[in-house]
Amino acid sequence: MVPFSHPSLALVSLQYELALAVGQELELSPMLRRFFAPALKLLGCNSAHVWLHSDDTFGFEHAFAYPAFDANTWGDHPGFSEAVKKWQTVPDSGDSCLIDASTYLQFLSMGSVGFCVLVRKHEPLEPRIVAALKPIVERLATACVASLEHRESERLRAFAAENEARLRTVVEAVGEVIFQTDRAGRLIFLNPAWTRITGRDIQDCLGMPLLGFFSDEDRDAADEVLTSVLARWEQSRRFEARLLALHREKVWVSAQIERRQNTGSTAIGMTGTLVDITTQREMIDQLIDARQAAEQASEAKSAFLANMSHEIRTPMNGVIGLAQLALEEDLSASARSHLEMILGSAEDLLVIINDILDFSKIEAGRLDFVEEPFDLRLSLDKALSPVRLGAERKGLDLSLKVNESVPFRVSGDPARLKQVLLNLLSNAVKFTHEGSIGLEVTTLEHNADHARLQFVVSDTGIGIAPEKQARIFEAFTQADGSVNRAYGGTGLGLTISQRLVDLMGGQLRLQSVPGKGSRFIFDARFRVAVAETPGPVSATDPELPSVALKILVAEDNAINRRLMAGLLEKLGHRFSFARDGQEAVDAFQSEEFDVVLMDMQMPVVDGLKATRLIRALESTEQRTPTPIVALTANAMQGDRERCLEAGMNAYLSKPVRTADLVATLACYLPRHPVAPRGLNPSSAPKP
Amino acid sequence: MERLRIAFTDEVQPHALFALADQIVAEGARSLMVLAADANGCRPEAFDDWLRAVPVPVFGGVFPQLIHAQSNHERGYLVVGLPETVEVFNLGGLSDPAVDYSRSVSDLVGAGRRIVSMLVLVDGLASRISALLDGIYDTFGSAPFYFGGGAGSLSFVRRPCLFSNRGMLTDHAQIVVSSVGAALSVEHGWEKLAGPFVVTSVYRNVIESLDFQPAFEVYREHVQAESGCRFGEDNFFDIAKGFPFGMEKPDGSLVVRDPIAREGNNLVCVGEVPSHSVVYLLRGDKERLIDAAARSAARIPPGKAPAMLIDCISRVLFLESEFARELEAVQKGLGERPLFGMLTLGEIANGGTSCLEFYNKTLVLAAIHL
Repeated sequence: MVPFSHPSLALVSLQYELALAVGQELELSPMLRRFFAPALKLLGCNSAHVWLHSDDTFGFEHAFAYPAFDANTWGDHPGFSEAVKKWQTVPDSGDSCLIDASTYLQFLSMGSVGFCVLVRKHEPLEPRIVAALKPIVERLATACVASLEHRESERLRAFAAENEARLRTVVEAVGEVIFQTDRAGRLIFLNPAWTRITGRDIQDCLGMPLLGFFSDEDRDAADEVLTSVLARWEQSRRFEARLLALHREKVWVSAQIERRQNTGSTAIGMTGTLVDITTQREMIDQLIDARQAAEQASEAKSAFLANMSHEIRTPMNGVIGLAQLALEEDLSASARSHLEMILGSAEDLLVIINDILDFSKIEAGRLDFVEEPFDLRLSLDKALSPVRLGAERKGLDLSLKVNESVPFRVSGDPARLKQVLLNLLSNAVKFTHEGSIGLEVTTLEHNADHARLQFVVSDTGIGIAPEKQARIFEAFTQADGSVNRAYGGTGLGLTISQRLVDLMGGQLRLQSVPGKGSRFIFDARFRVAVAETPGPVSATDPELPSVALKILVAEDNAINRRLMAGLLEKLGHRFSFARDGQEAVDAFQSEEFDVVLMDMQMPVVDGLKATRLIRALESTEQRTPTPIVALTANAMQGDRERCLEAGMNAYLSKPVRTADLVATLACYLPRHPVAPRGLNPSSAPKP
Repeated sequence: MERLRIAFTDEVQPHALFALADQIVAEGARSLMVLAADANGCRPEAFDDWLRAVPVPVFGGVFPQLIHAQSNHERGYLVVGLPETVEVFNLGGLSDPAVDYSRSVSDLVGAGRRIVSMLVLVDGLASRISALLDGIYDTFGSAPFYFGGGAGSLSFVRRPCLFSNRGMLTDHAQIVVSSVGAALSVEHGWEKLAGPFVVTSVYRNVIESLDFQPAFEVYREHVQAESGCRFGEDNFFDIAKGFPFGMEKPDGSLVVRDPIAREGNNLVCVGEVPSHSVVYLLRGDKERLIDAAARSAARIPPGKAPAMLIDCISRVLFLESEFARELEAVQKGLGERPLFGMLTLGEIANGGTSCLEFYNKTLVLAAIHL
């Protein structure tokens, strides 16, 4: 062959051509292919291989071959792979070696970037050509680095694009509005949910102030929030407001707003979400309406119960009171027996009415429950008292056993405790035909603050079958239907008792053997009364002073006026009647009374209003306040409070028991000053 | 059939080809190579039906002239029956600037195949022949024996010029994969006249400027001075056939590029010229060309199997009556090997030891191991 005619020019030409072939592509393989395809022709070589440094393996990895088909030939050719390994150990850019009879390898270093190998047949490249290639290969190394960086940046770009696409998909698909504003609160980004929720085209809204899309009612509140976030008073805020929508009425949204800020913490706008909560708000409104309706219905029920209570107690007051009065007179044995039966039946009926009312209160969650200090042993006596006569008549032995450790005074609701005990004792008397009935009280726990006491009411009665014991506390349930027929009762007593025991922090349970008797056991928690204080005046106080009081009785019911006349006459008091509230006020204005007994529910002016008028009159005329005692068939929750609030001093519910009336009036005998307010509703007021 | 069966007819009518080919197929040929002389005036409408009906793989093309029995023929058909069933792949879009030939060749032929030898025939007037050859080389590596040439008319009017089982094709390449090895030899004999010149502006096979001057002006200056002839309106190739360009390699070898036409101040070559490449203006000496042919034949090992000569038509035009001596020199070097082949618009080979190249004004000799 003809050698280079102008060797130096030929080398420069070679460098020129190859230098221009370097870096014509950004991608590594196409870039190298565009370089080596002409390079191999110019250099008379068969193939080229490139190894590049790997950050993963900290070594060189085969990265490219031209022709690509030859990519594996170096590994397949033992001499080739051995030469490559050797050269990696002792790199020398000028090295060439013969790997078989006619194949030469020419190693060209690319510094820390890697190296390339040219494969040539028959003879190696001349040293001057290798030397001429050196600057070209250095440029190639730089191009490789650029390509690798490009590859990495493309990878990151693709990763970012993938993330951006994923994020965009999410942003476009979510049901919540996602928005961004600029520093002035103008919308600069909205996702498609905006259109779905407001019916507005996004492009029409961009650049508009977010605030302008809130309804007039909520705009000021929204303005306060947006200003607060943008002004850096708060990083984020959540609030609910109404948006103006095109395709439907105002949309309720829950807005979550955060401040966007640059690296210098300067606010550059807001980012936030708007969640359509219209449906939830409508549901809440419906629930509120439903609750109001339910409350109204409950109020109506309560009013009905109150009315029924009043309507029943009024005639019952007459029946019981007049029967009691009549029994004071000389009667034939037959008439007395009949009157006693009338009185007994009336009192049974009163118990039933009270049970039904209590049960209604429990069901309505309105059971009246107070806490006050009381003498426990006295209360126990009171509980036994009503059943003592019945027990004696049946020849039953009735006993009370109070353990010495039981505190004398505790704090709780003595009336409710008595109600439970009386219910259990009444049942015991009712279902026991012979033997005994006992009430035993012991202490389960006792410390400075609290005492947990156990009450056991035992009898030797008919007992309850095991299979029926579980249902005995259910409302309207008795051991069986025959019980109701044989013994009467509503079946509410035990249910009420169990609920009352619950309220006293205890549990009511039953032990019973049919034919042998039952034990009702409950525990109750009481606060231990701190100091011994005088107990309330007992209705059965045998030493009542007999001083006549001048009493005004405001009572619209003629029978009840007749009853009160009998009772007060018998007690030796003087009295006059008013048939409604207005008459009472007029009477009070014209003369002075020691006590006023005031019915609540009366025509013209009711008892409450009459009381207020009387108190006002007293205030105007600077008169000493006269005790006013409510005497009413209104026995529902809140009646007592309303009476006291109106200015009354005490509260007696109808039917009035003579003993209660005596005890209450005793408080206002001359030795007792008039108590201002806040008295025990069902017994005598406190001094 | 155990060996190549070579038959020639100087008739130009298609039926002469059909009869010859049918006979060879009947004799047991498993593949057919059909070479037609340009002067036959082959038109697709006369050949397509027959080609689609040929029961064996068929390949080949229309070339300026054919070589048979130590003579070049301006007319006639040369039919070669092969005892093996070769795979023929027809790849279109040979002038399409958007095609990535590494990928399209891989898709068409199958990447990773170990190929023994490959005949590559191309539409010689297509503009991306070198890119195709780079793609083929990238895909199949340096091991196969590659040889072939450009089909077409010396009139440089593009017509369907490749024969296939789909009919006649234009702007195509035909890749014929054979399991039979070959011995290759490449020579040209052209020598430097002037240069070097830097190809400062080129679009594929159209050189626009040399040393930043209009290409034709540079070319005209040196060629007219050397030849004593002046370029007129229609005599460009008559003069240019003796003055090709040569791209020099460091070992001194030259890859020839043949300027075949002038477009204003641009020179249209057969085959691409790399941008910024360094070229020389070459001139031919008849004796040197014939000596080169003799050297080429001498490198083919002795044997009796036929040898295929792919010789550039411009050598015929340049050597004129002396071309017979080139064929004589080749045959003498080949000894007993029968010689056949075609005169082409560009030649293809990997030189036996180097990359796959597209040559001009060159002689490629392939002795098939059959």
